[in-house]
Amino acid sequence: MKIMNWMVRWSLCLALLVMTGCASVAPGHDPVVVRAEQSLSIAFDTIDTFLKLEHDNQELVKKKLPEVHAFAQKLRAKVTVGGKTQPFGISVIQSATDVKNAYKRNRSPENKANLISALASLEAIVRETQQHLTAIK
Amino acid sequence: MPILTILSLAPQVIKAGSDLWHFIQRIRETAKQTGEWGEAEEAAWQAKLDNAGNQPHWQQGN
Repeated sequence: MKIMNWMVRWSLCLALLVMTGCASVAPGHDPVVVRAEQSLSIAFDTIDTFLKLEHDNQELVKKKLPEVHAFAQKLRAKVTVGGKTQPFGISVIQSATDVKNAYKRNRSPENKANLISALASLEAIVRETQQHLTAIK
Repeated sequence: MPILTILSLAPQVIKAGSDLWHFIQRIRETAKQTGEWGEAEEAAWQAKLDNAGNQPHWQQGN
């Protein structure tokens, strides 16, 4: 089955990601910022790839995996935050980006805590994305 | 050494040029980052976010 095939491949990708370490942070650079930027990139790529795969197989996914389709639609739903209308998935990444940039401008403990909190929210969505792909097997 | 096992299996399971193959390449590039983004990277990132919503797979449709 086509869906199962890409589920298995996706699982392999996730295993690869979990087991692939990150490069060390260069002297003079803030590890919090570097890891935040890596997390933002990985979150975007994960959600973007998931939506692409779901879109390319949408008829089959809607029929066989309605909860996966519903989750994809939730990520695509337009929301307006700060005068900007974007899909929910992008909006969450944008919010975390804004918090990260605020921390880069002012590296206060409060901004650092806000950044860690924003990344935790983002990671929860990425985890849910992964669960929707792997729980169906 | 599971990582080597997985890396050796990946080319057989994941077709080169496929969406997943591109995904892995992007993640590998991200993992190599050692410094904070400069102005150019920040601008490129913002453009990526701004443009993503216009892609067909980000449209809600039916």
